[in-house]
Amino acid sequence: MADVATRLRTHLVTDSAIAALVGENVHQGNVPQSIDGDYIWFGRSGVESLRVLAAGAIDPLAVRFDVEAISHDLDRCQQIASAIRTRCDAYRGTFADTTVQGIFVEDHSDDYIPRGVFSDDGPHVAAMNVEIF
Amino acid sequence: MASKYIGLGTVISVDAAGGSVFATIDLCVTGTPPKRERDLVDFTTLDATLQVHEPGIEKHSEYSFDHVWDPDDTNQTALYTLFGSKVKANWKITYTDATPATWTFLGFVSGVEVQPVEYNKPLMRRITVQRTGAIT
Repeated sequence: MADVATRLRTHLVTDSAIAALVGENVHQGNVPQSIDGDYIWFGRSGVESLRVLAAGAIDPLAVRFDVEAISHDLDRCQQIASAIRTRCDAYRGTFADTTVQGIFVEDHSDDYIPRGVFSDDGPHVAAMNVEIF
Repeated sequence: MASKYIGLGTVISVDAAGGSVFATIDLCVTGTPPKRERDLVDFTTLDATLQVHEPGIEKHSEYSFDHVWDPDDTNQTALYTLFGSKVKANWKITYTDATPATWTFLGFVSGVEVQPVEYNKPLMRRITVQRTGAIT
């Protein structure tokens, strides 16, 4: 069974607007060196647990991801970010091979340090927090 | 020496028929057990220098708990039914000590209050029960 990160990737790459901008270049954690162009990087940033009186673990209420739209072209970077937002924010329904109750996208604050840039040639980054319920 | 316990593991259950076949209410997040409080009978005399009270009868008290609301869950739906029927159900709180202490008492559901619904928070509901019998 796919985990939530794999499903998030599937959710992103199967969107036609995102595919038109970055193709299959949506990567968790590491970005292949062979990439020469725009891409989306994402990494898991936390989980929100639901704790109740009864003992025993229950599924997390929400899983959070940092998602970064990365491009050397500022307009293109914003287009990718906008496509991610359109695809994910306030979305509920089919999510890869399962369903989600809701996905919410928020911009990261100015002091967020991008984690998906592995080159020193200064690409533009639009970073978001994506919360999946 | 007394041991320390936390709330994790506390079980809230009810027998809607007032008996002792209890059904657990899932996904309870907090609970406020019913208070035990006596009426105070005032015996203060005219020449008293300090107010004097004698213990009266035990007062009515309220029990409430909040749970994550699943409108399709049978045991949770039963709470709504209890509100409508006004039936005095048997409630049980099972605590978390080594030999779990239990509080059992009769009471009717006087409140079913869905908490403010927010787009990114679980659906929550508060149940309020009026205790009508002794805590045993």
